[in-house]
Amino acid sequence: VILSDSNPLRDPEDFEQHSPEPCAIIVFGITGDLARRKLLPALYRLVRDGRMPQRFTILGAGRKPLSQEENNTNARQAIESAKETGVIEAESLERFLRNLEYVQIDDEPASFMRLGRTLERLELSNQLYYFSTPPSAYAQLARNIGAAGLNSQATGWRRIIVEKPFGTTLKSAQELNLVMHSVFEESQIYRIDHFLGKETVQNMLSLRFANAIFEPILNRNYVDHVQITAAEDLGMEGRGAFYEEAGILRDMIQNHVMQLVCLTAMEPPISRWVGSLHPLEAGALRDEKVKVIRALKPLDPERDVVLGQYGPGSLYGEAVAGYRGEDKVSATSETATYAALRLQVDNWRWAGVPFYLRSAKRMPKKSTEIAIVFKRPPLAMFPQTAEPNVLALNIQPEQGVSLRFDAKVPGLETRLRAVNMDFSYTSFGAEGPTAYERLILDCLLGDASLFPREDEVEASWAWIDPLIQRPPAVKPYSAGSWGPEAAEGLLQDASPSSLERRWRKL
Amino acid sequence: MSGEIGNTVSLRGIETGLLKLWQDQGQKPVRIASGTLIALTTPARAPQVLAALDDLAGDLPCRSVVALLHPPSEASGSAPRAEIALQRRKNGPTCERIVIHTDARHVAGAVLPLGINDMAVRLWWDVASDDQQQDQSASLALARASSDGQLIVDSSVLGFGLLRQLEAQHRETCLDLAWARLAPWRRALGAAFEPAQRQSLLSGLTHLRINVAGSRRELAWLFVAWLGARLGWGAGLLSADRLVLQVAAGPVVELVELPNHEHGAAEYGDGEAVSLVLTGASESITAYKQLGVPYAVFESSREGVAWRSPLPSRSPSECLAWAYQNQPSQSWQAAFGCLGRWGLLA
Repeated sequence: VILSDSNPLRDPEDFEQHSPEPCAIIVFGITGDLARRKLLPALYRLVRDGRMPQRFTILGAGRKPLSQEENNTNARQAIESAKETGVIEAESLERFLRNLEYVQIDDEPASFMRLGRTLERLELSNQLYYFSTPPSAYAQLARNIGAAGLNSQATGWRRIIVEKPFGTTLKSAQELNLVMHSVFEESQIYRIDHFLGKETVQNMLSLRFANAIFEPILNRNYVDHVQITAAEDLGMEGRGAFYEEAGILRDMIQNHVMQLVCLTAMEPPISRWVGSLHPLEAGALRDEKVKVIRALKPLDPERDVVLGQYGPGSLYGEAVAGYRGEDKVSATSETATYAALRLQVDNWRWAGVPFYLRSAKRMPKKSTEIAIVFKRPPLAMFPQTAEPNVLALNIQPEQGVSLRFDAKVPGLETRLRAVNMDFSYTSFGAEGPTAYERLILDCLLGDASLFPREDEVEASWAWIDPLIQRPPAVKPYSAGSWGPEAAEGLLQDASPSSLERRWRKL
Repeated sequence: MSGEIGNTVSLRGIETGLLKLWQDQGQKPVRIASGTLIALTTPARAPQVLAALDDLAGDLPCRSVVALLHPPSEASGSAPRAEIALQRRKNGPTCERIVIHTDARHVAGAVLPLGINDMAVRLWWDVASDDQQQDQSASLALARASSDGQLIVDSSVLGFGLLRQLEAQHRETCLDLAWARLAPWRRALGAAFEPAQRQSLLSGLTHLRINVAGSRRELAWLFVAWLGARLGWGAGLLSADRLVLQVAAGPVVELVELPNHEHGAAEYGDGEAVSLVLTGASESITAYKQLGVPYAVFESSREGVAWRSPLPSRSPSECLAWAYQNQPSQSWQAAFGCLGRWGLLA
């Protein structure tokens, strides 16, 4: 099937009509945890919501010898049990399963020739390869795809989605990029960070650049500091072996949290003028994000960082084990499950404004937010000033925006109280796409805006690598607490205003 | 928790009454609304309008105002009252609904103060062209007076003649619910012609036949007009019975009205397309709605294959949500231009 962009019945005004072109989606590692929890439900939702092309095949690829029936059963179970699936429609599920196939592969090039023959039989010349395997397999997968000629775009597009972590150090990320680029162009590579698929994260762009009232005050003149929190109440949940290698710095800070820093601190992307609009372009957005990372001052591990590891504690009224008591975790492990960092974005806008990052496992609750804390007014006109103004973006579990300001308490005396003006995404009612659903669809449509680029990934590794190589000592904290006490001291510096800084109570 | 709490108040007491309902509901008194949707309709059509608005309340935070227009002779003489309510949805917005009974003479004064300050106001003019109770001039006056002049109509109910009159007075401000209802067919057909080798059929189309359920033709003609606008069709000659159109240097378009017993009336709305046949020199593609499931089946004579494409039904509230949230469509205006060139607006 030869496709073109010339379809006159594609209405440029109707985004819903922008369905992807017919394609095959090859999922390496289809029986793995990620595929079962996230990818298969997301792909099913795309089918259910009519966003898949009229002709498509999801081709699972893995080492296990699976019959078609076993593959379908696994997929059905995954879709039915995943909480992200949402409403299951029998008709849509049947359509999904009718378009699901499986091919067994191994590390040998011959098995990729077999994969190629399967793709030829399917007559779907556009192909998306989804790397949902352990990261150690990425390089060999790419090489095998290249050796079998499956990277050729002679008859249709070829794209790959690569799951995080993309490398474990700057060196390994560079090496992986080299291998990938020996097989694929950069424009074919989609490095996925599912945080960028979340509505509220994207809303950061809307909030900042579609409103005139916020952007003029988001700078060193008005902002005292920024707090970014990504707290999880979960422990290892069977991922102990992975976490022993990754730790909080690789698992969260280098990627997810860094994306939040970038979207908070970046300058408006500049794009070419089209009609009366300056539509957001993938390149322009990625350029601005990279600039933020390059503007980060090097960290002093002893002064700017507090690392922690949870011990036994209590959560939701129940006793929980410490990290060292988790499955597949060393009893003497020094892996950090908590990190608090003080960042300086050393550019014209943010010079002198600390960005405090906090991410951890086994916090009292799951909560991710970006809070911009403003400076106090220059004069204290009222006897009891309550709290500084805060503009907070809630990312999970509830998505929304809140603005805190002081208001007079009704009565004869002048007393102030902090009040919150809240906007909750539930007010829109309609359910948005899941992060994976959104990002897979973007990739199928060829929109790379929300995928980190090669230079961005390498820049973030270059920034965090020294900390990973020379981390400070890990401090203990109880599961169910907000982390080591030492983290409180991170907020204070030489400025008088820092004395009243505190981590937000979430 | 879902539910509704309400009260009956005087027209002057609406805002105070709503504030009290918010305070009484025992939640944080956060009032969020994206604007006001005013529905202007008749008592006879009130059940459909209220049902659509009730469904909409589950999706959109907006204040809805329903003005039920009674004939002047039914005016009671006593002070008019309003029914106010908060509609609460689990995991959804809480919306304000106001229903007032009025007549054409008083409707503007009753309704205009009810828009939320400085936010978008959309007017849904839910009338049929043959509705004798409706005072069109009063409605138009209200439409002009609404703060942003966005008018929601349904061309398949209103009729093209009245719509043209509105278009003339409210240029580029109409949002057509029929357009939203056609979206699934437009998308399905668009998807069918993604492969480049099928697109030659579109440029060499000789005949287009649309089988329509019931006797309302507006929806089908709007669909044809969309095709005409997208494919650049020129002027056309319409038959006297307005069922056949010969496009200059283009296809013959034929509408066939199917009596209800031929197609299972329960499956289709009045005026909905049941099937299409696009015929060219060497190929024809047939598309028909598959009964009982939200899919269309496409069959190509040249390729010898059949495939299915999603064709979900659009509920009245989904169409209303589209109209409430969007700006007037340029594609719709282009299609409307085709209807004019073909003499279908007369």
